[in-house]
Amino acid sequence: MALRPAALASLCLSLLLGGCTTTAVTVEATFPERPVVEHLPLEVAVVFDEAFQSYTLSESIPQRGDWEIDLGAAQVALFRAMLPALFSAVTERDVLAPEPEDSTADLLLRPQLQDMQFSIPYQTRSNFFEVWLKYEIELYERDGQALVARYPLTGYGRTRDGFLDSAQVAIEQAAVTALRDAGAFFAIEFPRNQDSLEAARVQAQQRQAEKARAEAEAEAQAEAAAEEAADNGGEDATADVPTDAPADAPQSPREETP
Amino acid sequence: MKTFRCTRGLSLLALALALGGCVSATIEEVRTAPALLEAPQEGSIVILGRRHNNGYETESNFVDCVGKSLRSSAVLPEQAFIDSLYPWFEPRTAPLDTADLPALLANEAVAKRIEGLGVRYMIWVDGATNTTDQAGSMTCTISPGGGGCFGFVTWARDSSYEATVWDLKTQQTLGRISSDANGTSYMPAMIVPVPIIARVQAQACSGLADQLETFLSGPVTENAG
Repeated sequence: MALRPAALASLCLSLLLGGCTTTAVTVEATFPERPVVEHLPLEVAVVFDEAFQSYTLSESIPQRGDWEIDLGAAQVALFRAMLPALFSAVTERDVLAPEPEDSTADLLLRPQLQDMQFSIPYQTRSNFFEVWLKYEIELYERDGQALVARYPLTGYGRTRDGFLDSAQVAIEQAAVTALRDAGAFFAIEFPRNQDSLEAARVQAQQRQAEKARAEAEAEAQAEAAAEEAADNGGEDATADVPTDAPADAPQSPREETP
Repeated sequence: MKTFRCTRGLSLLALALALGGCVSATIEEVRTAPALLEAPQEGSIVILGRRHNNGYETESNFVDCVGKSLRSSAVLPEQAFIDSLYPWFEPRTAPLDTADLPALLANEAVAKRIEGLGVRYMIWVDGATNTTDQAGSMTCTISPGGGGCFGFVTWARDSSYEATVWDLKTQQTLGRISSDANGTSYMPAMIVPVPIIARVQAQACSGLADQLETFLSGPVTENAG
């Protein structure tokens, strides 16, 4: 009989603490492996950086506790399923860096999740769990520095509030739908933008060439100035002028003594 | 005393099952083509739920129910079809009208994949089941000595669906079938709640499936395409 009050107390405590619980959702999904998309004659190296691979959204909803949605593995799975259908070859990288010499990749592609939001029926007074995703797909030249283009990409998914389904399952399904939506948009729209991609690549290469030319010119000017300074130094400079002084540094007059 | 309670509970359950809620259903059919060009073959039908609307979403269990209730030919499962044609039948990308079909089927890869699946007829199901009214209240109590519920709750549900039949080969709308059902459920409770459920959605499903069955097994024209 001594157990009953204890059990009742723990029941009351658990009811009181109900709002402090954490709802953890790990999104696990498989995506269609043979999307019906246009195959582009491009080889890419896709960069899944650490932040992308382990993305977890943490949010607190008043009276509904804390939520943690782990989307990292699922979004990597989406791009792993989709990109090989779009490009002729895909290799994976962990960080954005210049491609090795033996790499045949034409471009580096780095997906970045910029924002993720979700809502539950309690917040929207609707029957739906909803998830919004906002990506930016960055395309770089092989050097990993020249940014060619940025593609904004959004995804939306929702799941009806089921009487017997848990909130975890509903949010997970909504997230999978949002990922599929984002993937569908990218798979259809990206091949349609090949002309603008080509133009962007040309512009990026021009920018790169201009930058290299400007750097070379600056270097040449610096060398010329250094030589000139050295020449002047040979004629005028005294031993007390430090050799590492900048070329335009004010030099002390030779005859300061009154 | 326990035997009495058990017997009473079982009696109430049996009564609830026997009564059920009353449902009224209406089915309407509009044929826009006089006849099918080809009788449906095994797996040549796919039923898809429309999920483009902001305010509601056609339930996947309803689409499954209609598919399983069609007897004339095996229906390709909705998810298998959508996955096979990814990314063309996602909510954002799926065709909304037969006017969108030529553009979609002009994509050689899509047309080839659909042909490979052997799908000829596509049925779009649009609609939802909603609770339109509810009243009453019920109180349940749990105490160390036992528990029970007392009260009376009633709610009305309305199912409204429309199925549009497309012929993918001719890229035409063959017809439309609408199925509406509504009914009121009750749940009186004296210690044990006794739900008397009006199976509104199930009624709409069976009505729609029966009419689709009639539609698809209708006359086939001589000039089969």
